[in-house]
Order: sequence, then C-alpha cells, then structure tokens
Amino acid sequence: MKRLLLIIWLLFALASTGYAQGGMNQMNTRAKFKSMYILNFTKYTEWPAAYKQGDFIIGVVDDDDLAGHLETIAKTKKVNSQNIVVKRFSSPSQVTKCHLLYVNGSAAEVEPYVKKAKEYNCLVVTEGKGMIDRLSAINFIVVGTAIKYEMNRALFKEQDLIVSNTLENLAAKVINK
Amino acid sequence: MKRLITIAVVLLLMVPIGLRAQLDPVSLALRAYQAGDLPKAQELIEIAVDDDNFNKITKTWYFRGYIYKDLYKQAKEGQSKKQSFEYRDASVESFRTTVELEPQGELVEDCNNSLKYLSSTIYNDAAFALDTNNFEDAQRLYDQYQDITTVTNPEMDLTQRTIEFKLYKANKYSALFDAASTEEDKEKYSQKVTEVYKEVLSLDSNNISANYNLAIHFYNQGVNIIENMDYDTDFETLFAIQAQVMELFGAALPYMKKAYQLNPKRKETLVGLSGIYFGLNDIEKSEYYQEELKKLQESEGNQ
Repeated sequence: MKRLLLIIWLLFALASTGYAQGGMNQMNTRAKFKSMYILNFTKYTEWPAAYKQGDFIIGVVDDDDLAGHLETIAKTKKVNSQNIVVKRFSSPSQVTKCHLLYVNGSAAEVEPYVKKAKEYNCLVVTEGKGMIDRLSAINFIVVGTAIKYEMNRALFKEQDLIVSNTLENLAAKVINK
Repeated sequence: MKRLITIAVVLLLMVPIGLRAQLDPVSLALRAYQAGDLPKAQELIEIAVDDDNFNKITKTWYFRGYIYKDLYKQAKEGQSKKQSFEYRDASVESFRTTVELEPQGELVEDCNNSLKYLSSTIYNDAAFALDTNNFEDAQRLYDQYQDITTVTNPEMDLTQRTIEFKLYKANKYSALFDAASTEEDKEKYSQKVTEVYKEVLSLDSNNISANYNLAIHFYNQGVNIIENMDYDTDFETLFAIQAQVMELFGAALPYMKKAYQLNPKRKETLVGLSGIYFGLNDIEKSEYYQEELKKLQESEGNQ
C-alpha cells in the first residue's frame, strides 16, 4: 500500500512539474486535407475519352505524406470506374502519363514538371504564389487559416479538360487567361 | 494511546462525582475502549452524544474521536472502504467538535494532531480515488482534506496542492478522452479536461503544464477530427470540418504561446508551436519554431 501511495504521489508531482499528459499527435494535417481536395477535383473534372480507360494515374512530386494519403484512397476508391494508381516522382524526367500531377515548389522548380505534364492531358495541381497565372490549372492557397484553391479555366481548356461549374463556384478565385 | 490514557484519567477525575458514581456512558465507553472492545465503546459513546447531559462536554467528543479513529484503522484493513470512511468522518467530526467547544483547551493540540493524521489519510484516499477514475469521491475527499487543513494549519497555502490535484485529475480525464470509443464520451471527457485545466489556470495563469497540456488537448482534438475524416468527403463538408479544426488549432495557440513565453527553452513547446502553426497553415511561423528547436538541440549538443 505504501508503495502504491508513493507511486500516486510521484504521479501528482509529475503532473505538477512536467508535461505529464500524452504527447502531441504527430500528423501532417495539411496532407490529408489536400488529398481530399484532390479526390474531389477528380470528381468535377472530365478527361478526354482516351483517358477514361485503364488506371487513373495521380502523380505526386516529392511529397511522401500526400502520396501516402492518396495511396490509402486508391485502396478503396475509384475515379468513375477507373482504379487509382499513385506514382511518386522526384525529377521531371520520371514524369509519365498522368491524369493529375501534384507538384509543389518555386516557379523555377515546378516549371520543368509542368512542361513534361503538358505532353499529356494532365490536370496540374500546385501550391505556391504566382502558379495559377501560367503554370497550373488548380493551385492551393491559404485563405485566413484554411486551405482553399484557385483555378485557371484557360489552362483546363488548354489540356482538353472540362471543368464543372461546381468546382468553379467553390474556388476562392477563378481566372481565365 | 498512552497519551490518550493519561489524558483520559485526568479528564475522568474532572467529571462530576455524581455522574461518575452513576457510571456514565462516557466513562463506560472509555472502559470499553481501554479493554479493546471498540463496538461496545462505540455503542456507549453514541448514547453519550445523544444525551444532553454529556454532549456539551468536551471529553465526550474527544473520546468519541479516538474510538472512531481506532474503528477507522481497524476497518480500513478489513471491512468495506465505505464503512472505514464513515468511521473516519465520525472521528473528524468529534475532534473538530472538541476544538469548537473549547478552542483554547488543553486538548486542542492533541485533537489537531489527530486531525492532521486523519487528513493525510483523506488526501491519500483522494489520490487513490483519482487514480481509479473515481472523480466524485476524489473531489469530495480532497474538499474534506482542504477543509480540515484550513482548521489545523491555517497558515498553510493550499493553492499549490490544489493545482497538483487538479493537474492529475485533468490527466486522468485526458487518458479517458484518448481511450473513449464513442463521440458522446469523447465530448464528455474533452469538456472535463478543458474545464479542469482552466480551473488550474484560474489559480495560476503561469502554470506551464496546464498551458501546455490544454494547448495539446485542443490541438489533438483537431488532429483526431482530421484522422477520422472519410477521404470521400464532399467539398461542403470538407470546408465545414476544416473550419472546425482551425477553430481548435486557434484555441490551442494562445496556451502554447504562453507555455513558450514561460519557458522558451523547452523542446516540447517548440514542437507544439511548430505543429500548431503548421496546422493553421502558417508555414513561415511553423518553420521559424522548427529552426528554434534545431538551434536549441545544437546548443545542447555542443554543451
């Protein structure tokens, strides 16, 4: 009993002087939100007929957390009736045919990937300032503290992608140039 | 015990001869007590406290205090906890009545010593109740401990001890929150955690553990929501959940900032601030605290 009381006293002391509660839940909170956005983007975009067969390929550049979430999605979800396949890239030369490519970085870093992606009917999704003007059809931005997206209708058209009104209406900003 | 017998003999001599001649219930209770017959002593002392001829006499309550104290000691080893608590309560009541009847009397010091002993057992039981998630009993016992200590040691500042008690209580609620399997339980325990940490902060706004742990509690709630989100959530729901999560991260921030202000060299706090800012999508600030953490780790490595 004495030992038990000692333990209780020690717990009290720990609670009063240290950080006794369970630790911080480690998670890349942004990656999951972005993966959910990406899944929604696929629902409101229509690819050319040739892209409606076979696997639905999502390319991810240098973002293991996001790729991980998308791989989890791929296990249970489909885009229309197509199985989702996630490909991880770390250099522009690795980029092959994708339905959607996510790339994050400075304009100089992103540009070579975009150039490669444009060889296909690929929806390019980025995150960064100035991307929406000429590089990507969809760009993640932060509005207040929330992740939102902006879109460039002209770049959808350039890639022969049809975007739904819903996606446009929910965007924080839409440009057409 | 020896001290009690000495005092008892002196007190017995002070009892009016008339009463002694009739072998009053107090004297008989004392005899039974000395003979080790506690149930008999209890029965007789209860007759005495119900009798107006004896229940205004200090020694009646004083002996009653000892009888119940011994009953408590005996009961806590074997019988039910409830029974032992009842005996202890009766003992405390008796010693306190003794002091109230004669605040300057010679028995005060002895009564206070007994009360101190009993209050220490009450505090231990409060801790034990808390350890077994028996929160109502824990609070009741702690309040009782506090109440007695205010009388036996009026100079003592109980704030720190109350904070320790509450921090431990919040920790226990936090563990229940983590283990809860239903939304209802999660909500219930979450509210308790928040409530108790805020109580600590109302006693000491600079309490680093309460600030840090409350921040972590808010932050982890937000992360739990994200973790449990279905990937196939539509835009509308996604926006709503995101707003809810940001509110929780926003609630965490001032407490983590305060913890940082109180101790800028604590690694956990730097990790916390970096994580919260990351959650709030303020990458610049998140990276700033990551950098601070790196510097701290490097400086520790150089020492």
